[in-house]
Formats: sequence, structure tokens, C-alpha cells
Amino acid sequence: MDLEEDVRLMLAFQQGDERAFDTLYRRHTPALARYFWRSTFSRPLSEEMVQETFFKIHRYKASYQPRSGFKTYLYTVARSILLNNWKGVLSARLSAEVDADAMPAGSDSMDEQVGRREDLRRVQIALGQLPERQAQALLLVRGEGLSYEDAAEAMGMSVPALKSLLNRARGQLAEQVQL
Amino acid sequence: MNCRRCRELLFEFAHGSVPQRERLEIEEHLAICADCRREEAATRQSLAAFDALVPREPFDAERGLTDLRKRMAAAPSPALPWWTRLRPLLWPAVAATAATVAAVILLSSPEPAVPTGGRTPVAGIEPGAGAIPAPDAPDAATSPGPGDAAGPDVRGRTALHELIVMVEELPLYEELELFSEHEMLAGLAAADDTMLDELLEEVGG
Repeated sequence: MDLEEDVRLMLAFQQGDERAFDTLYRRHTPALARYFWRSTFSRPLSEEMVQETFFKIHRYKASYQPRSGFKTYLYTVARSILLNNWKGVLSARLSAEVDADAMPAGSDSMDEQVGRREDLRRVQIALGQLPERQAQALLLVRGEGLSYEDAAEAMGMSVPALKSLLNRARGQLAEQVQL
Repeated sequence: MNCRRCRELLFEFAHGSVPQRERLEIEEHLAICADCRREEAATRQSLAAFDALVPREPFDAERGLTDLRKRMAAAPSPALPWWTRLRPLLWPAVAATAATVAAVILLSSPEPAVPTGGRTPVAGIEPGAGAIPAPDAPDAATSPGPGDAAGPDVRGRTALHELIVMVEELPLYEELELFSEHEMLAGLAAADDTMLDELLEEVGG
């Protein structure tokens, strides 16, 4: 994905090009939906938050400044929406069933498939129990492929602080799969 | 490289982003340390599971875009946020509010003044003190108000934690001009209590 192209599209949208907005929407919503789903484990809530994110971006398009990459801006807005709906997020997590849906490759043995599914279940539980900032660091860097610098900017912290959060999250998840 | 440093770098190592020189040092350490090898294997295993954790069905972008267009057509035009005119005043106002609330919490805290080796306790929070005091601590056992199982010390710490978050988040909101102060406070007031220890740890340095 061309990051510079995203910036050009956002600037074009700021000038009134609605097709540029549509392109950004189509390009980024699948990953954004995954980000929200991993944060909430609720499909309805995650889709609602995707819409809210792009609604805010459309409505307040003048707030974007090209000194930040579009993806950094997008996930800054997304994370703010998560925080603004935190009670709903916690409630959704509590009521979510462990729904690890990604099955291992077909060539795996039944035992391997069961083992990997158990890993998914444990990681989903661990992810839901991580402190918010650890989880967000992991979701942005590992989940959505943001650079350390971009993720740190989106979370309003330094790169070393972000790396510290990531390693603590790693430790929690690793502990779960070793149980 | 020792075990502690190795584990500090394990996320970056497994994520493929550790610099070459440190990568070699980690590999050398893993070759001779069985404990770190197990931790590294568990890290890879858990990150692989994390990568595979995806929603059952992909997001339908076309349907979503249609719905969003309808919503935007029905929504009134955004008004100019009032706080944009007050931006120069916003930060001092919040700082003053934070200081006032912190002072109220401090004065209302039932915790006796205990010498702390030169550092000043703030609302029951001693930097680096760790988790909320155990329920069997003398003050916690005697001072909770009627019907309040959490106790004033817990409430004080939570309130301060919220203030810390609010002040930390403010520049982000101010810069983006996306949200009302009400939204911001509502969201932060609902912040997960599991953030408390982490924030206290950061504040305590």
C-alpha cells in the first residue's frame, strides 16, 4: 500500500474530492475492522466503531495535517473512539464468547489443529485481560503493522515507552500459551 | 548478553525488527540458555496465535460505505467547536482543575501522614508503591464509608489515575479538535481500572 498515496487522497478529500474519501474507506476499513474486533471481540461493536471513525474523519477533515501519515492519523482517531466507548468495550469483552475462528492450515494433523485452536483461545483471553495501553501497542504494531514511531505517535508516547509496553504484552501472551 | 536483556528484546526479535547486531547477540544467548529458548518459543507461538485471531467474516466495505453515506446525509453540519476559540486557555484551566481535585483528594484521604523518606505522598499514591493497599491494612479496615466496599483510598487513587490520563491525553484531543470535552471526560471516566497500576508505575518512574 502506498503511504504517500493515502496522504494525497486525504488532501484531495480535504479539497472536496469525495471519491478520494471513498477510496480511503475501501482501502482501510478491512484492517480497521480487524483492529476493532481484536479490541472488543464484538462484530457489531467493531463495525459501529469503523463507521464512527470514518464519520469523524469525514466530518472533521480539516483537522488532518500531512505531517502525520494517514494511517497514524486513522489509528489515533480509532483509539480515541475506543476510549470514548470504553464501558461498551469492556462489556462486549465480558460477554464475548471465545471465537477463535482462524483455523490452522489443512495439512495439520487433528492434534495440531486442536493445539493451535487452544493457543488462539488462550491468546484471545489474554488479549482481553491486558492493560489497555499494552493491548493497543500490540494491536497497532503487530496487528496493523504500524512502525514503532507511528504507533508511538498515535498513542502519544515515546518509542522506548512503546517498546516497553510491547514487551510486557509479549510476556503476558507467552505466559498464557505456556500454561 | 544476559537473560534480562534478552527478554527485553524478545518482542522485537520475534517481530523481526531487532537490529542485526543485537539479533546475533540474542541468537548466541539462546544457544546456551534453555530458559530463554523456552520463552522465545512461547513468544513465537503466542504471536502466531495473535496473528491468526481474526473475525469470522471480513468487513463488507461496500455495504459500510453505503450506510455511512446515508448517515452523513442525515447528519446536520458540524458546528465550529467552541473550544477552538478557548484553546489558549484550555490547558491552564485543566491543569488548575487537576491541581484542585488532587488537593481535595489529598485533604480528604484518611491515610495518616507517614514519613516516606523525603518524598511527598499524593492521595495515597507513593511512587513505585505498586498495587492498591491490601484490605487488611489498618486504615482500609477502619475507614471505608458506609456502603462503599472500595474505600476512599481506592477511590482517591482511581480519581488521581483518571486525572493523570486526562492530562496525558489532552494534547491529543486539543490537536485533533475532534471531540468535545464532555466526550473526552466521559471516555476517560470509564477508563479501565487495569490501567491504574501501569500508570502509577509510569508516574513513579
